[in-house]
Amino acid sequence: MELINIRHLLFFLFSFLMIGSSVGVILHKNPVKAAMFLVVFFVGLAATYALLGAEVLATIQILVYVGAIMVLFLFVIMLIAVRDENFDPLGNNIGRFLTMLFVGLTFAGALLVYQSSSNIQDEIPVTDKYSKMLDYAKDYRIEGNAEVLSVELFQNYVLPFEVASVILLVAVIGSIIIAKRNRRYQE
Amino acid sequence: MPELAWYQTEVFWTLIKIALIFFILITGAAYYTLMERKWAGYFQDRYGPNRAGFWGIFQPLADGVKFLTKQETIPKNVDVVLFLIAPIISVTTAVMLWAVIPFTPEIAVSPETSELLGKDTFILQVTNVNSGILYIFAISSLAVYGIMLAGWSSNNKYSLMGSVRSTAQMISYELSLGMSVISVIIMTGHLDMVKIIEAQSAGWFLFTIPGFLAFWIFLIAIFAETNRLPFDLAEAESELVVGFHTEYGAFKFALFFIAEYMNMITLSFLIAILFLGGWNVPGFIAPLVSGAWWGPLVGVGFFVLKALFFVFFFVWVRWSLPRFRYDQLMNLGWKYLLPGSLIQIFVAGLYAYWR
Repeated sequence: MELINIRHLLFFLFSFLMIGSSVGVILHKNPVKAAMFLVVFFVGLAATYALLGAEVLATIQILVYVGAIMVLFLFVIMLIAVRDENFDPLGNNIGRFLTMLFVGLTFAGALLVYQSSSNIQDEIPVTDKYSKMLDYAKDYRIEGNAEVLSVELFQNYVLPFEVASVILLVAVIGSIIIAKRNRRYQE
Repeated sequence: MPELAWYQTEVFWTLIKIALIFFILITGAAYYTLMERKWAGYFQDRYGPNRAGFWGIFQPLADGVKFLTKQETIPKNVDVVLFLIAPIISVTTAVMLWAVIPFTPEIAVSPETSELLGKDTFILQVTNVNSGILYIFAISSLAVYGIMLAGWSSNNKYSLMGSVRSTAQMISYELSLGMSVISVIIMTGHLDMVKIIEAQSAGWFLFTIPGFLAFWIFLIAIFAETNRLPFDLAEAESELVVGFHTEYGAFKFALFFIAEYMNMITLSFLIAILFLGGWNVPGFIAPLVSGAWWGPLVGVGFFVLKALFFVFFFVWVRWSLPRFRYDQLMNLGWKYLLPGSLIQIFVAGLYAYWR
């Protein structure tokens, strides 16, 4: 029986917060509140990164997902003014229910496969691995967190990084063209 | 390592620092509201508030009591949870920004004091995050949620329009704001604010070519970020009543109000850190104070003075310039500031390469 320290406690706290909020994203009928649950989820994820000693990753998580992407999501939801009644209750739609069941079972199966395969490799269950990582992060705090990350990103993996940014650029230009074409039809 | 007494632990001193910084800055924000009204009065050739105490010195206290004792109202068709959370988000993000701002340099203390502190140095900064600048931008990008949710949950046309306007404005100008800081980061090579200030001991970034360009972009963008005149389209009274907080009254309104002033103080300190060298004193004073034990205190004094200038500058601009039109605001943000900040990053890269 190992001692539960404050890091483990915080980790479990944020895990429950994340699980609860992601359930909220799916089940809440109001789109604005569902989006807010997603924001809570991202903040919890950032907190978990910070617990593992990845400060820069945590701040970037907040900056990009919460500060930029979710703001735009909410902005669009607010502008087109979706209300509760536009959504059916979950049980009404048998196709959606089956899809959810399928995705859930696949995820559970993947978890089981991962658990068993990792047991063969190093004899440590996944749950213990996490607590080991938490303890490791406590003693080993990377000083130049941002430097390590930027060297990896801009020197060792510069080509994949550039390819990813070109793909994003293509998506931006494509969406602008699609939006413009629709407008021309209307006029 | 010897066992630390309870008053020597990191946790205890962090709590002390939190309490101290919170108290100083809350009081500062409260008195900023008074100073704004006094200065506004002088700009318009009138006295400003002068009834509560000498020179209106107790006016913030009177305002606080007024806000606290007003009737708390929640309008009928609002979304109650989000309606109540919105002002809390605004104030919380404004307070959280102060956690990483270093108000003093690392001061080496005397042996007696280090006995008390449990450390050899003292720094008035709650926590030193490696990536202080990133933290500031991450948290300040959360502040949009306060405004957005306030506008949406109020279930009011004016509120919604105000919040949509100010959200669009804030995310547009956040780009230029972030870009202008990149040139400072290029010149120092650090995200740590203490190191950014130390890198300016030879010369403030305002007096380098890329720093000079970045300074103006930053200065314009922070006015839009705080929704202040000349960019306060969010609360254009003639069009939108007061914008996103139309339905808010009593203490909920006070929270939005105080958050705005806290953000202005934070950004004033930030601009002093990034471009005006923080606690580095001007060259002709530096030889006089170097080595003396009170040397760092003089530096802190200059730091606060620099920040106070921008605190005044916010008011100065507000009562001197007329409001922009909304399309002018967006044109300025996207067609001039954003390309300008891209060019400025390029200049900073060349500067860092050739220096």
